[in-house]
Amino acid sequence: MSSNDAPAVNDTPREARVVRSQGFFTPIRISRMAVLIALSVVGAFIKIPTPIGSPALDSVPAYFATMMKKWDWKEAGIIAILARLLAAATEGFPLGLPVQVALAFGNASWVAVVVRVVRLRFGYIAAIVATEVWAVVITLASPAMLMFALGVPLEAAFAMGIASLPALLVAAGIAAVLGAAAARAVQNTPLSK
Amino acid sequence: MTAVAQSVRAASRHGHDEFDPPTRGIGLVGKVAVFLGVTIVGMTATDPVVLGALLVAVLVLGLSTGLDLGTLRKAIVPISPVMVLLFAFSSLFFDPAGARQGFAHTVYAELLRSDVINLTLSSGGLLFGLGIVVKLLLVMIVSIYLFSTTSPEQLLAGLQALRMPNAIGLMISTALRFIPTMSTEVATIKDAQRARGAGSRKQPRGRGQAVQGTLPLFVPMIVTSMRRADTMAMSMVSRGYGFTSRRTVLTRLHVGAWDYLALAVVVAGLVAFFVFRVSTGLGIL
Repeated sequence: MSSNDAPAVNDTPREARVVRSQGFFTPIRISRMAVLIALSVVGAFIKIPTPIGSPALDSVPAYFATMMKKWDWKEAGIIAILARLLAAATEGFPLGLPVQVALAFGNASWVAVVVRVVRLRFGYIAAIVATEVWAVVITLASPAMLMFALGVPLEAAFAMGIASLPALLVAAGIAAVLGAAAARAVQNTPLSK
Repeated sequence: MTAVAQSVRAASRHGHDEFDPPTRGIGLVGKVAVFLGVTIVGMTATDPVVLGALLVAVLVLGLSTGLDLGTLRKAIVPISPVMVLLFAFSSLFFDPAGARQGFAHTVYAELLRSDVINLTLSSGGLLFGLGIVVKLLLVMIVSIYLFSTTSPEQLLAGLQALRMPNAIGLMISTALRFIPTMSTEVATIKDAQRARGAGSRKQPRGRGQAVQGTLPLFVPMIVTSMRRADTMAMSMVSRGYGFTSRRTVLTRLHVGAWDYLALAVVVAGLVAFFVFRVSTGLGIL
C-alpha cells in the first residue's frame, strides 16, 4: 500500500481515535493514588505500641510516593491529604475536622515538597532526617492550630505540643523508614513507571 | 388500581416500621450547615454551659439521625489522654483575673508565680478547662455526625457540586472500594509471614518486635498495591477512560425542604448567638 492510500488521521471516525491527553490525571496515576490512599486507611488501623502512645502507619504510602524518583511530587501531596482525611474519618476526627484539614495540608506540603527535594538531592537517609525535622516543626505549629480551633491558651497549647513530640517523632521516623524501604524495593522495577 | 394497591401496601408497611425521626430527612447541605454553625459557635464560645447545651443538641440530632453510641465511644476513648492533658494545661494556665463572670474569679491555690508562667488553680480555670474538653467533644461529634450519616456517594456528589475534578472523585470512591480488599490482603500477608516463621506469635514480644514486624508487612503490601494499580490502569484504558470529558453521575446533590429548614435554623441560631454575645456576653466565661 502506498503512502497516498493511508487514511489521514483526521478522517478516522471519532470513536476510533486514540484516548486524548488527560494532563496530570492519567489512568495509571489515578489508580495508583487510589490504591495507596486505601492502603493508608488500612495503615491507620496498624498501631505501634510505644511508651508515649500508639502511632499509626497511615502516612507510609505518602512517604513511599514522595521517595519514588520518577513520580510527580503532586501525587505524594494528594495521597498525603486524602489519606490523612480518610484515616481521620475512620478514627472519628480526633481534634475535629478543622484541625485535621490543617494537619493534612501542612503534612502534605512538607512531605511532597521538602522531603522530596531532600530525597532527590541527598538520598533516603537525609529524607528520613527531614521527616524528623517536620515532627519538630509541627510541634511548634500545633499551638497555633489548637489556639485557633479550640481557643486553648498559648502556654497550654505549647505544653500539649511538647507532650506530643516524642510520639510524633517515633511515628514520623517509622513511617519514613518504611516508605524508603518500600521505595528502594520498587524503584528499579517496571512497577515504578 | 395497581398504584393504589402499592400505596396501600407502602402505607401499611410504614405503619409497621419503627419510628422514623424527621431529622433523617436532612441532606448533605443541611448537615454541612449544622457542621459549620456548630464549629463557629464552638470556636468562639468559652462558657461550658453554652457549649454543653450545644453538645446535647448535637448528640440528640446525631443519635436521632442514626449515629450510634458505639461509633462515638470508639472515637472518643483513644483521644481521652489528650482531653485530660488539655483540661489540666488549660485549667492551670487560665488567668482568672481576665474572666468576665464573677464566679470565675475564685482562686483556690497559686501553684507557680513568675514573670513568665503563672499556674493557678481557680474556679474559672476549671470551668475553662471543662469548656475546652466539651468544645473538643463538640467538634469531634459534629464531624462524626457529618461523615457517618452521609454516604460516600452523597459526599462525592457534594464535592462535585463544588467543582472538584472528576478524577479526584473517582480516586476517592476507588480508594473507599479498596479498603476492605486491602484489609484482607494485610491479613493474608501476615498469615503468609507467620507460616514462614517470621513473627510466629500473634502478639509480638516487646516494642522492638512490633516495629520490626511492620517492615515485612508494609513492603509486600506496597508491591502488591502497585501490581493492582497497574492492572486497574490497564482496565481503565481498555474501558475507554478519558475518551470523553463528559461524565455521568450516579448520585446527584439533592436539596430538600429539611435542608432549607436546617439552614434557616443554623443561620437564625448564629445571628441570635452573636447578638446575645455582644449585648449580654453569652458564651463568654
